[in-house]
Amino acid sequence: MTIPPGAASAAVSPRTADAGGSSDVIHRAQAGDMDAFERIYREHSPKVYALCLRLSGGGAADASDLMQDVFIRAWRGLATFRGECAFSSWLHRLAVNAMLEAARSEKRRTARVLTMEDPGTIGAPAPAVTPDVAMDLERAIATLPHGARMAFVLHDIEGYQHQEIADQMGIAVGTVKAQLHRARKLLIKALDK
Amino acid sequence: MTDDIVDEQRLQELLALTKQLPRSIDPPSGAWGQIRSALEAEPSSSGPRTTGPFSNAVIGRADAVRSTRFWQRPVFLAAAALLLVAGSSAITAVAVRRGDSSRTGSQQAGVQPTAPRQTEAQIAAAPTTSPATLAEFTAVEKDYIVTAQRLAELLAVQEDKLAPETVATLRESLRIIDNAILEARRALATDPANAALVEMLSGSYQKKLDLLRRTAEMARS
Repeated sequence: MTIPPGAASAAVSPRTADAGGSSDVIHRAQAGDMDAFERIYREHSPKVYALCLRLSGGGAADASDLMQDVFIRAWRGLATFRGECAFSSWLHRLAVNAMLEAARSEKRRTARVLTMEDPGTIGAPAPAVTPDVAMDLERAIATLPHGARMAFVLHDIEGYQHQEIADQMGIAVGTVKAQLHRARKLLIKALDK
Repeated sequence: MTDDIVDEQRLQELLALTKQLPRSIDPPSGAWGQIRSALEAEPSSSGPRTTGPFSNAVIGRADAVRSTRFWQRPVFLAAAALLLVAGSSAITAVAVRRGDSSRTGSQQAGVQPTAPRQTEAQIAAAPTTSPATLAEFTAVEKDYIVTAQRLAELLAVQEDKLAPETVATLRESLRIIDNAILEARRALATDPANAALVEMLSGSYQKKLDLLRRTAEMARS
């Protein structure tokens, strides 16, 4: 399931949510002012890029593509933004949706049959990492299986609630918790090495 | 730590470490330029879509269009090249065949071209070399656009000296070239390192300038 941004906006309250930028700038962008949209990009792109980088598994090229896709979608969908949630939350939702769609496309392409309802079948075992304490946590996150990585990034880094993640990913809350547990366990194991 | 239970202390250490991760990371410096190019290349680039809901169906269609990779199909390249040549030749043929009676009438009446000299100087400033990379192309793109605009203005002034059939053929040819430019720019937004696309884009601009120049010369002669 993919939730259209702007719909059910109250469901999103990431820890990083802010005022969403100047409403005047957003209104100008909604009216087609590309310079105003560039200001929005300058303000929000570092957070969106960080999110894309982690959701996509740490590849800079993939993260850049994903972030560009997010802002292109944002421009196309600006008219639907009603200010019912923080603008950053709306952008985050777009990023998550884009990542989920990309993952689905990749899944279809490789014809891998995986189900989000069965965490035991998700992804291959995480490759071994040799963490150098702090910075290597990023690398360890990047090696997590897709579902576990999504749950960890959205919950432990971005501050989403279990229910919010479940709604966005279209899976049960219990599955989110299982994915999160799995992610933490794999990360601790990786950091112990 | 067993297979199913996460040690509480280790978990707290992990969460503490997680909190230290940066929430913001600067994206690649060229990302905005690519986003802007992609948005400006869209037919609705005058602003965000205001009709219809922002739906995944729309996203899906856009993704499908992008994933088509039209430029990799030889048939597209062949068709585009053929249309460009055909369009340019058609204008020449139409102008020669029709003799542009209105132009002849103007010449008999002693009417001179009215294009300002400054315009022609600006036209001469058009890029003459083919950029090899997107960065090189971006640096000269404004020159292409300004030159094409000046030529179009020049033609608009002289349009009544051309036969309606010539003008119609010119417009159709320009439409084809503009579509080729649009598609190449869209493709470059997703594949900016593709040198063939850069060549196609600059080539399309060059064809557009050639077509406008030739038609303007016809109108003047």
